[in-house]
Amino acid sequence: MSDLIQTFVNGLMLGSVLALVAVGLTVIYGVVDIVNFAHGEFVMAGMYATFVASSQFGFDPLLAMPVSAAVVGLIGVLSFFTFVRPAMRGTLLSQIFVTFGLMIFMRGVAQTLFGSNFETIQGAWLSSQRITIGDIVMPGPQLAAAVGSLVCTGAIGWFIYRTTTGKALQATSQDPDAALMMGINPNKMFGLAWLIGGASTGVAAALVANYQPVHPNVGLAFGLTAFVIVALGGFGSIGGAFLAAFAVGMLENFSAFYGDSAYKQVWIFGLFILVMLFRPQGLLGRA
Amino acid sequence: MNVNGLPQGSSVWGMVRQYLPWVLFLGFFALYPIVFDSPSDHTLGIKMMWFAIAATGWNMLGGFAGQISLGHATFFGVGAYAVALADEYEWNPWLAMILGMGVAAIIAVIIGWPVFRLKGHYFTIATIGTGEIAFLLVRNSEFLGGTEGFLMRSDEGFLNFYWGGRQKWEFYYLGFVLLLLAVVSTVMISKSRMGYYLQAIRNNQEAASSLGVPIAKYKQLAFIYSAVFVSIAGSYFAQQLQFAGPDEAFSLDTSIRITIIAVIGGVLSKWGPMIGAIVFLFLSEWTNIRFGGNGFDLVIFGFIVMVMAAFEPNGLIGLGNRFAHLLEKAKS
Repeated sequence: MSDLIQTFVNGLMLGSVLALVAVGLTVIYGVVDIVNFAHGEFVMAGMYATFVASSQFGFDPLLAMPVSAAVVGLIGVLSFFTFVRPAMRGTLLSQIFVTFGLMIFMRGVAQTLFGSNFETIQGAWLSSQRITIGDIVMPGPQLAAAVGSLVCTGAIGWFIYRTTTGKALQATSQDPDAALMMGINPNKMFGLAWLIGGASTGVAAALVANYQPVHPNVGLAFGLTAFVIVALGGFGSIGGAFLAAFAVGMLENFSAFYGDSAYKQVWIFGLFILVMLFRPQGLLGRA
Repeated sequence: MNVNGLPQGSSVWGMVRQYLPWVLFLGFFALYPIVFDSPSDHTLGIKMMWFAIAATGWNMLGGFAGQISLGHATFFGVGAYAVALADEYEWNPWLAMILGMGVAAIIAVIIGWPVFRLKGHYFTIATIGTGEIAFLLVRNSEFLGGTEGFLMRSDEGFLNFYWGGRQKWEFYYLGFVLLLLAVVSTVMISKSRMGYYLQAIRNNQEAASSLGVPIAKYKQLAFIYSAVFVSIAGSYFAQQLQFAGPDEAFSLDTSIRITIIAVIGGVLSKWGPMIGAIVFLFLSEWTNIRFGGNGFDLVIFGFIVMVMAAFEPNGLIGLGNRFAHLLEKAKS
């Protein structure tokens, strides 16, 4: 029984981190109408930023969080204004290939700068902490990642639904031309969406770097899982992504608990394809 | 203004533009092993052949029909594993390749059923999903060699689909014939009713559908065609390397590589995948020598793909066409 509860708690903790990564992806898609195929590489970049801040400058990964957020947010804004914006005028092909190219580019840069080795952050304060309730163990890094992600996801939700700028973002998402006539500069809003999407992913990456080693291809699993979550929840839907993230977190932990953990991705993609067959717009997506 | 004095000077220019690529590409590929005459050059040439065959196959679906698949490693893997299993159980590799083509077609139908219900980005993500499922299933299957894959020991000769050492040029020309098959069939399809249907689907699926184009059927046909040719490339690849493993054949990296080749060359033209294969091979070898294969080739390819997507979606062929256009303007 306590095994089951432990698996459930692990699923919750994983789900909250995945939620933050996926919310970053869905904000970009919702506002800019572009799928960021490099989103997993955004996570990778944030983890490397955290790793460098901790190994070169002695920052604890927790303190490196703003650094990681700034680095990835900047990458997002830069890639938008250099390549994504011209590609938006092009066909669907251009729109897919531009972030696909960014993904390859970022992997290449990581491999060139850091090599292909697995790098682990040493001596993080959190790694010696843990909370135990009965038989249930919550390691510090994972718990902090879960709590931090929930707070950050909540902050993004608050910003988008409760502030004037957030409402301008929503307006741009619904109709950029109409937003322009209301005095909103759509390009600014697009850039802001990339900034939010990047920075929130950077926060998630710094939290994850506490307990997971980083290497140039680490983004693949995050990116794929984030696509699945966002597609499950309905592209552009923050609430949908939030729910789907927990569903995927649970599925990943329970499938590993009952079966072979090598197949957990098979279950996630299987669920994705099943949902696509019966509800192609996702759980909370607009048809 | 007509400077040539011919009644329709532009038609000569038009003929040149129509047949020049055939002469250039076929001439280049036909002469390559004669000009570059060492076994290591021939190995590179063989690589160029399987790049070009795979990207040409991919392009029928990704370029002509506009359905961007990032899951074609599955079919590459099917082709590679077909000949690897043939080697393991001492069947004939040629029969295995043909069997692999059939299996690839069947898998394309099975995968096509769910993924073609999706459009645009959703379709691309779903193909990543099917590709990863196939990769994980193969990697964890003992019958299919698990993470290790298969080392092969083919005898040399035509019947065994393998030539080593100084005879590699025969292997090269075999690839040349397979590539010709891919290009000629692509040209025939693109000039047929199916070609125009695919173009209509790429440009506007809803409009095509409302004009009576059976979009589901034709997307599926394009998928089967591309799966079959990518599987041929996979068989050719495994016979050459005498090896088939999950990371080399079934992984997302393989799908990405096939896609990059087509995109760099230009996805709207039948020549795109070929020029992509030449440029991809040249750049990756050059960066390997110059920078020691530490991922710098990815930096270059990623950058090129981003620039192409943003400024010239039809790749190098598109750049070439712009240049030819300028020449034409300068002439008249």
